[in-house]
Amino acid sequence: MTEPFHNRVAEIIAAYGGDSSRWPDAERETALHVAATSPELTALMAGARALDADLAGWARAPLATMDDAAGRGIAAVARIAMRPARSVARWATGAGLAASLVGLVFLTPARMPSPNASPAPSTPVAAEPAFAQVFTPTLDEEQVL
Amino acid sequence: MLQLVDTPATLMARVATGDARAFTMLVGELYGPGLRVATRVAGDRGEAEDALQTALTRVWTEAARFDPAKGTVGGWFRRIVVNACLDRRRRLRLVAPLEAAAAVPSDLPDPFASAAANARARRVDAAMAHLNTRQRAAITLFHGEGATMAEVAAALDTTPKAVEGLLARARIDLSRMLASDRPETRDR
Repeated sequence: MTEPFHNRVAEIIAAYGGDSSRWPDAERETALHVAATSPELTALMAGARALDADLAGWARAPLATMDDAAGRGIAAVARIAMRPARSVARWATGAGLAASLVGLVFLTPARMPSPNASPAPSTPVAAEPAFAQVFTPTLDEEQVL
Repeated sequence: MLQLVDTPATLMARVATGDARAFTMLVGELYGPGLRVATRVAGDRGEAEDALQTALTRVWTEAARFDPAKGTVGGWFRRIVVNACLDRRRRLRLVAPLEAAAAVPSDLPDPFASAAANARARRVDAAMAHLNTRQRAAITLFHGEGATMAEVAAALDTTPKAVEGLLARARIDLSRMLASDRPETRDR
């Protein structure tokens, strides 16, 4: 067997571990044959299996945090998850109102309102940038979602 | 008699229409698996809970973007959880020094084998804390969740080849950290 494939088998063992059922389907049969005929790869397999056993035990071990849902209650967790959109909307509305008031203070001396002037659009228009800023996903989020 | 069962996919469709009751039921389905993944990737309970809450909020606000043709709700949610953990990686800290883990007592009942296994799992946990977040995510998904290399690559938004590299480096580091207290090496 060629040296490059020997190296590839070493890579497979290093990445996937000693359980050949998890190795790439296309390479498994040949890789197993090569590993069985190489003392170096056989030793690598033994070391990989020891780590596999550790990781299997780790994966089976109960997590102390798993009772958290029962403690807090699923309904409460769900309520919190649903809350931000509403809170942000309120915040954005408040920010919009505040921005409108500031705008009025600065604009009033320069342009005296005529009695027939319609009120300037305030809340919805001013709220949009703030809302967009909060909800614009990052590049990572775009790629994931 | 025909009984209608709410599957995660049907619940997700209702969540996309703003159905809060369906969302609560979906949270019941996703919370446990999500917390398990988040805890192992983040390596810290508080970070895991925060990341999970962020992920659940994304499910609520982005439910309409879920495409059942592209995979399961569980797989989609796992990707969101992993990414929420990765987004928080700059604030992650080590849970405990590796040496300190040896002194952590088991909270399981007495049987020796069970206590030893639990202690060993804690050693692995402590060693995992020394890996970077992407390595932890790769190990968690591949070994903890049984995901395929392609699924791990999708969750980490990279290629299977890159995941092979991540896993190989992580396994080398873990082997080195754990080798010191394996019986066969300790007695040498």
